[in-house]
Amino acid sequence: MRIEGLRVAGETELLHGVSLAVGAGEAVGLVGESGSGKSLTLRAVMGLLPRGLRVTGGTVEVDGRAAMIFQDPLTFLDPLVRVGDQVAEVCRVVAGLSRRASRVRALELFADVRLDDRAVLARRYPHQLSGGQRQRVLLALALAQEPDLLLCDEPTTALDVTVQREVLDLLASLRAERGLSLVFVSHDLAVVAQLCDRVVVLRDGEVVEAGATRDVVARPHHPYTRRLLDAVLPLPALAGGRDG
Amino acid sequence: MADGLELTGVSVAYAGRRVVDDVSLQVRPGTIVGLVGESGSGKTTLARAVVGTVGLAGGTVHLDGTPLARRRSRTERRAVQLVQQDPYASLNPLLTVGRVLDELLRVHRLAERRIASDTAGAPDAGAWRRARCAELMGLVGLEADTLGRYPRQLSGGQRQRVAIARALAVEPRILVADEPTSALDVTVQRTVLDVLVGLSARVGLGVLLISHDLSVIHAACDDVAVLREGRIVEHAPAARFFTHPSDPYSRRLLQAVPRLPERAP
Repeated sequence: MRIEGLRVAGETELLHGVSLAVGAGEAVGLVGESGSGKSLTLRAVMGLLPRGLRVTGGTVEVDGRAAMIFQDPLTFLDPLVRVGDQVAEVCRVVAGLSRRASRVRALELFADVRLDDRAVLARRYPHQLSGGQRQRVLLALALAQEPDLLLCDEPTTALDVTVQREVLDLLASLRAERGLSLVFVSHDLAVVAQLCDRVVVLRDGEVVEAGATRDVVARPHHPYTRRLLDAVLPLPALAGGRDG
Repeated sequence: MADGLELTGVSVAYAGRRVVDDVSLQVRPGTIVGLVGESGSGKTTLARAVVGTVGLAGGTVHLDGTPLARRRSRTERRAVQLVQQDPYASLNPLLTVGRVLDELLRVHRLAERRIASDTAGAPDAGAWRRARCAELMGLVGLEADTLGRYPRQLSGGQRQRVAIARALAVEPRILVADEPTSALDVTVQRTVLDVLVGLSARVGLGVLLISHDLSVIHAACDDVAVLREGRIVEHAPAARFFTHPSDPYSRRLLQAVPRLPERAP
């Protein structure tokens, strides 16, 4: 994906020429606080801008297909349809599968996103699932679209820390298994650092810094990046290591 | 029994199920105790039990050695105050900050009480309240001109500090802060935590800080209690907890926290 000089405006301009490139199989983090334009950038790529906003300049090119997952899956899942049927429906439309084949495919996708008890779970409605399960269903729904690029808008922000860890690990392995490219939007640099090779820092609709995650974290150039890093509250190292 | 808040074997049940189960916990004046737990652990229910908005299925809550009754008196309610996650929802949009605080001081007749007990004090209740409002702003690190503003004119962090000032207005002994920084941007989180730390040190407030976020707990707390499925699985001084957790679940929580790679000094 290549974004060049993307401008988005409503009554005032909100994105002032954002540029961003994501290579095949690469994971790029988009970091900033609320109002920085990080979610807006993803929505512009998907053509999902909120009412009243439009792209006023720049170009967006995506090689292949893009799919997106969101912070709050409930907004994007149909509350009245069993989750298995929702995923099957997308398989039918995208891959042209029969009713029966699409149902089998949906269960395969549930396996891909590491959902347990799949046959039972597929018959549930969104409100009957936990937050982590819903996010996995949303991910299955995204994978059903056979994307080359997955746009992730704060998908773990609302999750418990142990569930967040599972979803981050899942995204990392899906990326490795399928060669997916990822754009991961978050306000939390520590979360982005878990997953992304490169990071782009956005502030008030402008890119203020971009580079390899390791370099940006070790030697931030822009004062705003430094502020974001300073805001990550530190934890002392755990005796016995991370996996002890 | 010692000063501060003391929960002994507290249980809360909904529909026959114990969502808080046999919890014992102390919050001494001038200390901050962190209560960490994931969703469904019973943290918010425990907060409600502490402030007295849900009934107990068992156990007792003592404040400064005195048991708190099921139906708390106005003085008892004043003594244990709650600050919630969402400062947007908890502030009246139609009143200025000063009006909200002044109203509270008036309803609780705090000026009159204070003037009556203070021989050197001016007898003017209105002047006392104005001075107290300015003092409250100072305690939470806000400018006095914030008093003239409406909630919508404030940032999220400022609103949360106003919510803390409002809780402080009634001179509580204990502040229960339920996820007070979760709705805030990361750069603002620290300011709000600093306010809580400052208050516990300066006015001897006991704080029960409830959060799902271990870094938030670490930044502010003297002691940590881990709640899982309604039970406390570990309760330890913060200095030991974060490096040497004794419970396997605590350890899993700590391992799951995303951490930054090394930064250059």
